[in-house]
Amino acid sequence: MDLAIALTINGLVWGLIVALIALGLSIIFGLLDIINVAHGDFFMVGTVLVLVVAGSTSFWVAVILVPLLGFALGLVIERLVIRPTIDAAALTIATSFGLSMIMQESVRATFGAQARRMPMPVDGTIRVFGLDYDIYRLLAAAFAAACIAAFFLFLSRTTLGTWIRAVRHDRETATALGIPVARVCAITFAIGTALALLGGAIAAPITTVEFRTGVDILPACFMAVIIGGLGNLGGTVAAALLLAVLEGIVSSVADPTTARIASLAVMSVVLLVRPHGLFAGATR
Amino acid sequence: MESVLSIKGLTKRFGGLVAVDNVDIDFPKGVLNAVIGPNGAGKTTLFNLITGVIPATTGVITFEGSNIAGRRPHEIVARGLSRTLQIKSVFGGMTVSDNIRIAVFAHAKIVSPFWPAPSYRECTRRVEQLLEQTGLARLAAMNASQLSYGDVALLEIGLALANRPRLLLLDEPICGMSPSETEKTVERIKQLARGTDIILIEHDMEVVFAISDHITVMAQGRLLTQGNPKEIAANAEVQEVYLGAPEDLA
Amino acid sequence: MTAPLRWLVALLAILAIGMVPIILPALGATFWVNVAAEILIWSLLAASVNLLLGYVGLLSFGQALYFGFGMYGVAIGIGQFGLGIWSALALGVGAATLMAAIAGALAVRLTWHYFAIITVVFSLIFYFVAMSAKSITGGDDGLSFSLPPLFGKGGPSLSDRVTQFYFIYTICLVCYAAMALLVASPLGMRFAAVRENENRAALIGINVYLTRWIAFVAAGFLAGVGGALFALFGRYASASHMFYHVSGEAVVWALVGGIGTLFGPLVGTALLILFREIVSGLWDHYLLAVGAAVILTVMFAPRGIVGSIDALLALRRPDIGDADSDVAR
Repeated sequence: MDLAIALTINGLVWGLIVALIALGLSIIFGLLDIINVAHGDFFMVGTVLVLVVAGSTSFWVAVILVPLLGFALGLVIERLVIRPTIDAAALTIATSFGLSMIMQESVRATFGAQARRMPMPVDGTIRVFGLDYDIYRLLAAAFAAACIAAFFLFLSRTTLGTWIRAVRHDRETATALGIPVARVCAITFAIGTALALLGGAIAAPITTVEFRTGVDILPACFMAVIIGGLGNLGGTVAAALLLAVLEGIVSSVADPTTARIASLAVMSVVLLVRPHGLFAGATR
Repeated sequence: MESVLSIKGLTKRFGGLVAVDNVDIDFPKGVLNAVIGPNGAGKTTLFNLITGVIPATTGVITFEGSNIAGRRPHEIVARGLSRTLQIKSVFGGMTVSDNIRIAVFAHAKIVSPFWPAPSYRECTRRVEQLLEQTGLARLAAMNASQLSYGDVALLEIGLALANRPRLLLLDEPICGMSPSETEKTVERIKQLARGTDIILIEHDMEVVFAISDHITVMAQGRLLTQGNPKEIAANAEVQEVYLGAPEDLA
Repeated sequence: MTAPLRWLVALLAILAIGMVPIILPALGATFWVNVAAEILIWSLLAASVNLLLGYVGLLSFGQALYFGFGMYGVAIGIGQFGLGIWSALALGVGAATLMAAIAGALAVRLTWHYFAIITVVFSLIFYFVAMSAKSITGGDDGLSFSLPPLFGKGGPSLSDRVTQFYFIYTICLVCYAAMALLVASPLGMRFAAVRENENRAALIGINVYLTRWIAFVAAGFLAGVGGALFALFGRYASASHMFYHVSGEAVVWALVGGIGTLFGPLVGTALLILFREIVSGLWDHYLLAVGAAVILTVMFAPRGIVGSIDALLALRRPDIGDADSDVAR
């Protein structure tokens, strides 16, 4: 029972982090219509960068700096790689695959293949439901939740956020209204990337830092986006949390791999029966 | 008079919008039928319902003794009912003769993965015949994406003829054509009408009144009236409906 | 290219590849005979991607699943059930084709984004199953087995490099020949129609869903053959070859070689595997170059190598749209 609770809380922590990253994937998918298999690798780059930056400054500086770097990286990639290939719709998935290869190999080349651990920036545990739980994990969850909330506020309250929603809804009308669609797309891609790196920065102390971590997190993000419903941001968050908790519970009775298989099976069913996601019609 | 197509109680709702409203229409056999009406009258929706592109909310469509409402498009085609599209659409990456060849194969239900396509002599002969019939023989080797708009329309008609349809639905066949292309196409349609039953949607009133024997008028998703060209021209209700309607598109 | 020229090139290629186990050892490059065999095997996986993407217009990012079924069919067949080579082959290919039939019936109902995603999801599910069912599949470590004789005792054996090469070569030849026939056949034209304009295809009486399904099963068959040959070649099977990275690489090979062409998959696979063999000896991080190659190909040569050559040659001929070449493309 204790194990179940611990795994569920773990699930929530990871669920929030995955939700953050999945939001990035969702807006990119929603706006640019591309399946970006490199998105998980952006997360990985986030973990690596935070390790590097925190080495010379502090973790907290890194957590602010890394997403900004991510934003810049996103802008560059969008301009150099995404925009020139955007017309070849079926092929953008291959482009992102090439990007993924490049990122993984760059990290491997620069930092080696050795998995590294990052020390938690906040030591100590706290008593939760009769268990000793790492304070940092709870902090991470809170921070992720705050970022998600901030993101939704950004989307609904700012001009840029409104533009992004407009372009996502109806690109042609947005152009007719004078919204600079190309720039909005570039910024959206950059924000999506930044979110992934932010997720990586937050997650670095509670995961291993190596060039392959992106591969593990990618399916989780895609599941959240699909089950939540393409373009349905609230659904994505809900789905990420649901899946993480589900996997946590299943992991307590079976093993993590079985849990993963269970989530994938759920995803298949959703794809086949309600491809627009479980929460379609809720937000759109 | 015997009907080639008989529609009873056909309704199509898109959410709150009723595109086709409890329509009863009989299209007589052996004549060239035309469906006219202002924009939004539900004419193309009617065609889409008949050819199975969209499912009907309720209603029965009887063709050759059976109800085709709700069937899938390829099943309806197999029963001898073909159509052309308002926005002309063919297989762009292939040559004109290959376009027709596919349609012929589809009709002959040939799906073999083993023998090369041109080796089917019967089919090749039929392809040549159709090319003659539509006047596209000299363009046979040309890539369909390079055809002029008028020729694309003819190719579309060729595709629709491949399965020897007993009923051919033409959706605005001369839409967007130049006067000479229009003349050519109208000639073809008249020739085709001698052998096949045709129902035609058209906005160009000159053409409609010149070639059709029987006209069905729709407005706002409902049947307004039916009759021969003289009756329709004299009908006050039709005049009223059209006085407010946009001009001919041709 | 005109048909006769095509035939000539094809014939030359077939002969040249067939001479590999004779010429290369004479040049002291015996190692490369095995590389050539590997290229042929992996080209089948690329060909399965190509069949779906280039001919029917469906992007599958999960062909490694059927490769895996073929691979495990052989490994388990020989390792656990003591089957002979031919029965094991049949088991592997049969299992892969059956799996494709089942998965295809579900996947093909979806349109392209969701189709691509569900192909990955299916392959991931079985990847995880294979990883965890260690007792049957050996998980990540894999299963190895020893080869039974090819034609009964005392005959040629697959452990002989030359025999092995010609075994793989012959099967690949049969597969490519079958693909060539398929593409030029009425069924092949049906694929093209569905790819070009699925609405129009339905309106001339083609069952689009069924056509896609048939293509999916055929592609699963090809991938299964590749997997089965792979197991025989390496005498082992491992779940790591079912991961989506493998599927992704196959997509890359097919793209670089040329989607929608017959030899594209072979050229693409050959290029990238040779690149890997040659460059990885010199530079540890050759994957950077591969990734860059993919991006550059999509940007500048989306028709791939063979496709671009085809297009160039077509432009230089006065009579564009040769009826034969459009069908037998």
